[in-house]
Amino acid sequence: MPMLQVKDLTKQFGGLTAVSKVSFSVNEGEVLGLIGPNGAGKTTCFNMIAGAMNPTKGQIEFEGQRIDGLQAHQISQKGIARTFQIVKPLRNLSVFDNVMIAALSKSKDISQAREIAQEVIDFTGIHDLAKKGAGELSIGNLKRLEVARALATLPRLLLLDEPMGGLNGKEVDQAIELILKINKSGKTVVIIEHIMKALMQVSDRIVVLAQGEKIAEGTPEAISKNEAVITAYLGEEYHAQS
Amino acid sequence: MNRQKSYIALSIVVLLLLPLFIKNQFLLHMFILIFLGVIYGQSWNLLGGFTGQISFGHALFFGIGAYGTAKFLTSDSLSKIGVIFNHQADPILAIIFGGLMTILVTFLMGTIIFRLSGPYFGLGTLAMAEIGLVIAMNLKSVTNGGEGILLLDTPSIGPFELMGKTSFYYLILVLMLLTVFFVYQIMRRKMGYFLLAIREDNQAAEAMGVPTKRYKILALMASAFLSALAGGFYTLYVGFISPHDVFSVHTSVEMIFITIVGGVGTLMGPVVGAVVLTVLSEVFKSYFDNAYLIVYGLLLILVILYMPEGIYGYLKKKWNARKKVMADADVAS
Repeated sequence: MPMLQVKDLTKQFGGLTAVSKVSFSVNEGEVLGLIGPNGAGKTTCFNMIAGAMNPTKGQIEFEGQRIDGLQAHQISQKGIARTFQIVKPLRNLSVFDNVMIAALSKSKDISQAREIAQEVIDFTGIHDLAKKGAGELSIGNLKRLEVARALATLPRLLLLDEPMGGLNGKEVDQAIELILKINKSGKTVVIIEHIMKALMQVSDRIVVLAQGEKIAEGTPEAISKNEAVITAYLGEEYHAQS
Repeated sequence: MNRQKSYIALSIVVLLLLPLFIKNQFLLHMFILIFLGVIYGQSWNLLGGFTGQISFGHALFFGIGAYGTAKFLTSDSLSKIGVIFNHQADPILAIIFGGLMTILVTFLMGTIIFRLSGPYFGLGTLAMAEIGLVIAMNLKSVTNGGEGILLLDTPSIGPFELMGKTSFYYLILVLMLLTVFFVYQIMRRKMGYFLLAIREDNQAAEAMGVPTKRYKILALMASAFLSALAGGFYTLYVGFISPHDVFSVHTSVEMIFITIVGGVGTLMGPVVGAVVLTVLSEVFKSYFDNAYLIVYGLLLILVILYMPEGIYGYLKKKWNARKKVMADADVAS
């Protein structure tokens, strides 16, 4: 049985259908890439899975339990963590406290949360920044902090929303390394990313959305040759010319 | 840290001994006002400064606390509760009763008011306080309407009659110390960190597993309870309350000023704010007569413009910068 199963997920904002009958599943231990042009509904999917929004229709099952309609903090308790595309650091607190507070909701006291936070900070390689204010970090480090904070809630499934957006080449390589390391440590990952080279490297499978609908699903190689995907990204005309 | 502890112990001892040396009644009155300011400053700061929920209606809680206390002492049926301590602790029970009434109200309003956020939350709380005022004016069977409630008997705690400034000084001193300790304890625990997370980013806090709504209601309850303590003390001290005295916007605004001038989101901020504003408003009153509010207002504008982090926040920043310069100099030499 898949770890996460999404069935006919639909989200309407007034008359606009942002996500329409999308179904996919995530198997335990894999890295699933979620791609699509801007406005395809990727982040909306994440918001619904993570409980930030309720689906208009459809079901979400995590480890055999229905989780659609639960609040975000309840989803976090179930073992799903997410990062935000537009980073949301607790600006006036230190990097360490950011991570420690994330660990607190699963710890019995502060000293236990501190231990978890220290481990996560070492794991994600932001040790040198621990005492800095989160508001002072560069975008690369903020993205790393997002991941660290998500990991500190001790999730089994991690939803990463564009963890490489705005990073330079070297930072992208580090991010790829980190994601593979997280996956190797036993966590299942779903990742939204626009940097294709990176996504192809980390993903076991890829699901493609366009205009709210799923248009393809498969291995990275298959997806890179899929006609519907190429059309969605580059347009009919370009496709006709080539 | 130990040095900090000994400073705190020393100042508590000084405050405890003070009435032995101060015989000037006006000066004692000033201290009482300052301590009262510290309590409601801490109250507002817990919700506004630490949790980031800016309220313009804390007078509601002050007022309910004041009326709860007055009703407990004047109503025949309620005052019978005092029998459990042989009527030796009536004023304390009355204040606690006012606090519990306030908690009940916040519990009811919490689920509604936290549907709002940001400026709308502020307007919502302002409206709630106005509703409190209207109810206090019109629910004559309970509140005696605009005529207010007068305490006829002098309340006493055990053998101590609450008469004269000295007895009130000690009562409010104890209440203030308990308040500061209470807020300090909240902020060093799990709840405190959750409140800070909510202030910084509600959505991020949710994603980090913080049940934000529950903790916002808890913060509101704790904050309202502290305001109710202040209101309860006000009833005992003044001996007379009316709707426009305790439910006024002025009270709500005073709480905000104390916190902002002292330093928002710091434990010491409301303490500094209460001292500075209480002293200055008295000084201005004696120098500028009725025009004192203008000078007072100007001062507030200046503080907000040039020290947005408040007096305590500003001094702390300067102090830290100096320490850093000195540390760097040490490294260099």
